[in-house]
Amino acid sequence: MAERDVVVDKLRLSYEGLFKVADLYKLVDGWLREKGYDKREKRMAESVVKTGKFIEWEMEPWKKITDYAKIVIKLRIILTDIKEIDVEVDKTKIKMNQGKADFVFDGYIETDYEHRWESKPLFFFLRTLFDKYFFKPYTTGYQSNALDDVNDLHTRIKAFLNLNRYSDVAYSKPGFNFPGH
Amino acid sequence: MSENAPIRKMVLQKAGIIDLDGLYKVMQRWFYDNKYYFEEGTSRERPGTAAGVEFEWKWTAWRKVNGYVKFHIALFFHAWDVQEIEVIKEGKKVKLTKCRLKIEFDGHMELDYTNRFSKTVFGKMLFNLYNTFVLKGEGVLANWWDELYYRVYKLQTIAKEYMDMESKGNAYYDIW
Repeated sequence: MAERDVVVDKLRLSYEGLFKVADLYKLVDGWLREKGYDKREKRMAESVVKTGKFIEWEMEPWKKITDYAKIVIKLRIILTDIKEIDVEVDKTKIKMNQGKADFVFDGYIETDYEHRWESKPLFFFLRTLFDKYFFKPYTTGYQSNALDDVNDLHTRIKAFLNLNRYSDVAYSKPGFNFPGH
Repeated sequence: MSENAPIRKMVLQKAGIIDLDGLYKVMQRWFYDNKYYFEEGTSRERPGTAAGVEFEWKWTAWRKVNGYVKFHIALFFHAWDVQEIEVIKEGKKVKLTKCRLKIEFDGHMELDYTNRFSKTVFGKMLFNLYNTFVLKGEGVLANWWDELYYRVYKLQTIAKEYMDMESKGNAYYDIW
């Protein structure tokens, strides 16, 4: 089995107020494309309940860095009590949504995703040895890239929701940036 | 024996009022437009509960890409609490369906579907060499896999747009 190093563990963001759900989806989808991630929408659920729409998006996009390692972002978005309302902006009526939004971000580095180093115990041992002692600077660099990406997505969503005025603790870097990424 | 490379499964769920007949037609049409051989392996209706009947459809479709690769797409529809209702839309009475719907999109890429390489041990060795050093090395395998994966996403986008889900749209639409 490929190994996953947790880089970001359950970074959360909550918001309640006005926003456009379709634009939020476009933002996330567009960001993933822009950053070179492969799309993965594990589950997209939508239902209408008495209090409004309930929407749940579960995404797990990934980006291959090398043949050996890839970055995986796990993003869970839960939107509850989503109602459509009309808002007047500059004397023009615009359709917006009102409701609660909860985001959970996870970031991983997945190594040996092609399962090349697990066919024999010796290979597995060598892989662990190389991961721990020889490729440490590379792995730290990959972790840093994953962290940057998760933080960037988090910031973009915060900017979209106009939450930038509130400061919160960002995930700190585990090491330096790997050159060329 | 041929080898399969599966794509990643995606699930779409919607509960509410849907034009189920229209969705069925639009999605089936996509397979014909994209030149897939289409089969509806299972079409099942169950009495369900007092809230409505239950439907299940299993679709499989395949297409030859070339003499070596074949794309397979599998769709599984499951609808619960299905009730036919009449809605007035733009002044006209329209029959729609109130239900809870789940669509699972899956598929795989079949390599050496003609079993050209699997007849002898030497052939099997050549198959592995061809895949590992020629196709994988030149990124051809990844290209085929990507094509299948993003084409299934296009089908998923069609379903999302038809059901008017908030997550409609696809930033990756120009890929394949």
